[in-house]
Amino acid sequence: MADVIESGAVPSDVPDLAGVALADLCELVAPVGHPRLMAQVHRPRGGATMGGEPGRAE
Amino acid sequence: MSEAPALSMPGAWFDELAAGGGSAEAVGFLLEGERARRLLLLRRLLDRLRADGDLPGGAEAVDRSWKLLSAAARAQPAAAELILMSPQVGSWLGHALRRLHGSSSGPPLRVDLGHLAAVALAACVRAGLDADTEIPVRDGVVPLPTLGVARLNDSRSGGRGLGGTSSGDYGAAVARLRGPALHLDDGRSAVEVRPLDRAGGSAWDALHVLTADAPSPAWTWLDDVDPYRDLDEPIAPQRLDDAEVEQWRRRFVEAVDQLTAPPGRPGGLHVEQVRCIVPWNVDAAPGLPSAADYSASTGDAFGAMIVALPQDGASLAATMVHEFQHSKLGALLHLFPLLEDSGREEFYAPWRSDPRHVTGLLHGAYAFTGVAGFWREHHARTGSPEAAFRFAQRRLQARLVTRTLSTRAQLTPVGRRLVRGLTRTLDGWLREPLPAVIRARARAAVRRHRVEWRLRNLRSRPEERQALALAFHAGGAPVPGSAFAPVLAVEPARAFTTRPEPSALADWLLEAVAQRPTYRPVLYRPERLAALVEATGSPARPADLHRLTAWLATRA
Repeated sequence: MADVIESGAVPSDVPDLAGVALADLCELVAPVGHPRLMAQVHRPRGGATMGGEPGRAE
Repeated sequence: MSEAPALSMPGAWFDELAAGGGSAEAVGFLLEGERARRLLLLRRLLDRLRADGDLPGGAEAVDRSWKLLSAAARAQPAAAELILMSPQVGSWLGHALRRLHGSSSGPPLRVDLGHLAAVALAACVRAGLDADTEIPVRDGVVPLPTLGVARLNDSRSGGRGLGGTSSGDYGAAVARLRGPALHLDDGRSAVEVRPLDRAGGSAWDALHVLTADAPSPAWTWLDDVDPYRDLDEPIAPQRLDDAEVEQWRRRFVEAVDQLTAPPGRPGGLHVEQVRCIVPWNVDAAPGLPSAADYSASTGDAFGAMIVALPQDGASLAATMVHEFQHSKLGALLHLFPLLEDSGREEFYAPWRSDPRHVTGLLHGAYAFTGVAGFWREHHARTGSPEAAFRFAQRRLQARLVTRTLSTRAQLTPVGRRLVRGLTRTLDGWLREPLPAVIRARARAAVRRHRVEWRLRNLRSRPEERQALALAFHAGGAPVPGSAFAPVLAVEPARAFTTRPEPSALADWLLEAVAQRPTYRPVLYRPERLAALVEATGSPARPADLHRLTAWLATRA
C-alpha cells in the first residue's frame, strides 16, 4: 500500500476473479485462500457488523 | 488462482467513494470485489468440507451439492450469480466459516454446513434444472435462499419481526426437483411446492418483493423467512401478516420517492443495489424503546439491511442511505486494509452512548456522512426545518469523528485517503449557510450528547479526585484539568450512589452554563464536576452544584 498516490489507482490484495466463472471455481489451482479476508471473516460477526441499534451499532 | 492479478481500483472511483458517494461504476467495482471475496470464501468452505472427513455430511454430500451448483452455473450463469451474490448466501458463507473456525454458534453443524445443499437446490430451481438431493429441515422448515421457505408441517409460528427462536427440531428431507415442482419428504411429512411461483402452494412462503417506479424501476426483497437474514446466527422465520407487508410496500415507495439526490453524490443511493430489507419488530426486542429508528447490517451481506419499520418514507430513505453506506465501507474494508484496530472500545462517537473501537468510528463517520447528505438534499428540496436540523447535526457529528480518526487512529495510506475525502465533503457542507437558530440547536444537541457521554463513560483518576477535593476544602485553586487524563469508567455511572445521574447532571450543567457563561470551561471536562461531587460528598442540590461548578470553572 506504500505506493498509493493521491490521484493514482488504489491496489488491493484481493485477486481479480471477474473472469472466473462460478462453475469453474473448483478447477482453479491451489493454493486458494486469502489470509487477510479469512482473518476478517473469522472474527465474531465478521468483524465489521454495523448498524443503528444499541449493542450492535457503529 | 494464486496467479490471478490483484484488483486495483481506479483512483477517481476510490475518491468518489471516499467523498461519501460513489458512481455506479465505483459501486460496481465494489461488487466485483465482493464477488471475488464470495468465490474465495466458497472455495475455502468447499475445501474444508472435503478435507475433513469428520465433518457432518462428508465429502459425498459436498460433492453432490457442488455438482448441482456448478451444473446450474453452467446452464444459467446469471441465475447462479444471483444466488452467489445474494445477501442471504453471503451471510451464510460467513457464518459457516465462523462455525468451522469456532467463532460463532448456531444449530447443529450439519444444519449450518448442510445449507450448501439448499444453496445448490435454489440455483437449480432458478436454472430450471431437475435435481435430487438431501436438504436440512429446521423446525419443519426448508429454506431455499432467494426464493422462500417450504413448510413440511404446520410450522407457521405466528411470531413477527426478528428474534425468532427455534424449538431445536432438526432433520433432513429428501428433495426431488422436477421442472417447477419441488417435492420434499422428511419421513414424517411430504409436500410439493413451486418455488418460482409467488403463490407456490399452501406449504410455500415466498420472499416478498418491494417495488417502486421512481426515479427508475427498483425492487428489493422483503425477507422475513430466510434463516441467514440476521447478522450472523440463523434465526427462525417470522412471517409478516398481509397488513404489515402492505405497510412496507407503501413505505418503500414513499422512501424511493424521497431519494432525489443523484445516486453518486454523498447522500444519494443506488436503490437498485439495496438487495434485501429484513423487517425488525422492535416491539419484540425487550429493552428497546419502540419509538426510535433501528437498523443494522453486516459486511457479509452487501446491500442488505435489517430495519424496524420507520414512521415515514423520509426516515426509511435515510435509513437505507445509512445502511448502504455501511455496505460500501464494508466492501472497501474487504478490498483494502484501512486502519489498525486494537479492538479497544475507547473513543467518543457522537451517536452512541458507549465508547467505540476505531473501526466502529470509521463506520459511523461514513454512514452519517451519507445521512447528512440525504438531509441536506431533503432540506434543499423541501425547506423542512427538521431536515435542516438533521443536516446540521449530522455534518457536525461526522466531522468531529473524522477529526478523531485523523488525529488518533492508525490509518493506512489508503485509510488516510478515505478520511481526507470524507473530511473534504464535511468541511464543504459546514460552510453552507443554515438559519442561525438551526445551527444553534444542532450545536446544543451535539454538546449535550458529548457532556452526557463524558459523564457516563469517563472518570477522573483517583488522584485527580483527591487533589480536587483537597484544593476545594483548603480554599485553593482547582488542579488544572490538563494535569490528569481521564479514564474509561469500569462500571456504569448509575452504579455510583453518591454520583449524580449523568443525564440529570448534564441537563443541569448545560442549563447552568446557559444562565452563567462563566461556567462554560466545565463543559470540556464535566467528569471533573462529577468527581468533585463524589469526593466532597456534596448532595447534588442546585446550590451545592453551583458552588462546586463556580469553583471548578476558575480552572477547568
